[in-house]
Amino acid sequence: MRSSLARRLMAAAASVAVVGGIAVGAGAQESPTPAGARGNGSVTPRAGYARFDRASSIKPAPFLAVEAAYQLTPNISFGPALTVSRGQTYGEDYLTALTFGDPSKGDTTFILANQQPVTLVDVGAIVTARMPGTRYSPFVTGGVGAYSLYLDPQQSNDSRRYTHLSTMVGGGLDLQFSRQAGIRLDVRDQIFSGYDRRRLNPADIRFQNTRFVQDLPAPPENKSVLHNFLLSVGFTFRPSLPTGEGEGGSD
Amino acid sequence: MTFSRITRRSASRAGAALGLLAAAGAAACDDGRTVVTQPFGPYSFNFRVVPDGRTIPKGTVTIAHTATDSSVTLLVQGIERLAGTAVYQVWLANADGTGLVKAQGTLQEFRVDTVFTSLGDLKPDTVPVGAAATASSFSAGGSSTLVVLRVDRASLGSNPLDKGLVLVTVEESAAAAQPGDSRPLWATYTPTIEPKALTFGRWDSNPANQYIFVPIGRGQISVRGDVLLAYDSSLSRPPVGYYYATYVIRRNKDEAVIDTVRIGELQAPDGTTSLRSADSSSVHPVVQAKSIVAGFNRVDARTATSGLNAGPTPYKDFADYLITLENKHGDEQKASPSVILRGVVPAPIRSPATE
Repeated sequence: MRSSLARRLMAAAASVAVVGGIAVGAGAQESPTPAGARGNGSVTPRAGYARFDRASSIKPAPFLAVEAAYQLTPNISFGPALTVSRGQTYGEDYLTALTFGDPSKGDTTFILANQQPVTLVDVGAIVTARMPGTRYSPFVTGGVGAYSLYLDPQQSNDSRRYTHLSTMVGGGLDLQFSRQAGIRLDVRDQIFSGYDRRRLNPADIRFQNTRFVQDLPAPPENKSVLHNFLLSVGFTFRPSLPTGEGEGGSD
Repeated sequence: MTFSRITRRSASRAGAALGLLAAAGAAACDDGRTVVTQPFGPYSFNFRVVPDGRTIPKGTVTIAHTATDSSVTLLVQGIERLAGTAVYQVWLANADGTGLVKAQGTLQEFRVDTVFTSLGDLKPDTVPVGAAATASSFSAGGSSTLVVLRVDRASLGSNPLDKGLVLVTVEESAAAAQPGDSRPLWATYTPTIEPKALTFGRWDSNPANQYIFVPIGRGQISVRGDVLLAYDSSLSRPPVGYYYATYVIRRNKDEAVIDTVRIGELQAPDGTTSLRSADSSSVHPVVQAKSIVAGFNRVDARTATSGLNAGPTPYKDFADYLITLENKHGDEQKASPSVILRGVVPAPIRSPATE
């Protein structure tokens, strides 16, 4: 199963790389143009911190992302994006009870928190609108795609995966420190639809805890639409321009 | 600004960004696996409560038929002492319930005790309490109380053997002219049959509508930290005028009783609906025609401290867990002698390691 998951991840990454390469390659065929000009391309690997909606029952976790962008106009770019995160579920949202001993003579019940790692992969296409031509370039972005949630196969006894629609809105700031490279600060609302946190329960229904429910933290209400807050920093690379071309244009 | 300065600055910024990415990437590569054995809070100790039922209200009717006199003697025990003006009213009637009259007779209360014979052997004995009186009602009761009412021609004003039914009802006062709804004990008799055991439940003139109480049920008690939960099942529906309540007996290390703690009335599983009225009303779906399919009690030492041990071991010295059948006119601060379910509290609760 792990190799299967790895293959899928590699395939998704390869897809993004190919599309990104096309976008970047298209930019490379253009004559050298300033950053943000039409036909230019870029690749932005990002890393950050995802604070998932509490109703997702997934703890905050770091994530990695990569996206490619092709400049449709000096202000508008379009391209694919891949986001991967591996978080842990909240154990207290999935409590089980395990009883030891002889019930007729007295026994002991342990209430157990069940947590499992989940791999979250989001693939989509995004459109970004930015203010070009300055060293500090704010932007807004939005996109649509699909997210897949991979459960722990060891616990699920199956290579279980759930895929649903995801959308995204966000914004940020591009800090250009050369014609080819820059840093991106990015804030996003990654919106999952069709979510059901009950699917993440790693325990069999027979072991569900039914006692002391009033004294235990209540799991969040199940929601199908989740808003996840993603904060990231990325490194933007524009290979389409030879080094030194237009150097200092933004200084 | 020179080309070399720009290149150095760009290179350092790029290096910093890449380093940050690498660190975040390393953090994102979580290889943790599922954990299903992580205890969440304290564990709970559980024990069962099982039917006891040895002391539900009971008694006999004995007929004396001699040439000089005829009498009916009622012996009642296992009843709860009634509070206020409430009384157990004894009636005689025809076997079909017609012709009700108060069973005026000679009433004597006894305390059932254990004495030693001259040889030092134990012998159960009955010790009179107070003087005998002429009455047809009484309020005495308790686990060691025996009440005897002898009705003869002289006290009744007629031959008691002309009747065929002894009925004990619970009334607000001794002035009741007719039996109320709570009619817990009865027996029919004929001059040729003796003695006859009393039936406990609810008498009705139509035998098909009579309800005979059976002391059954089961349950499980769980104690986790400050909270005690009791889940009971399959209890008989209480006779009219009765309800279930829960008590705990606290004992010291020498098994001497320290205190009797009232937990409260039996509740429905929702934890908010009292089943006190389950004798006469279907206050909750768990109340069926002749049974209560589920009962519940909860004690939280953080909010209810009466009778509990102070400190981190609130249930220390809890020795016996009782579900009793209480008369609605009884003293709520005293447990009824009618113990329906009983459980022995296990040592980890009664004598916790943490004092």
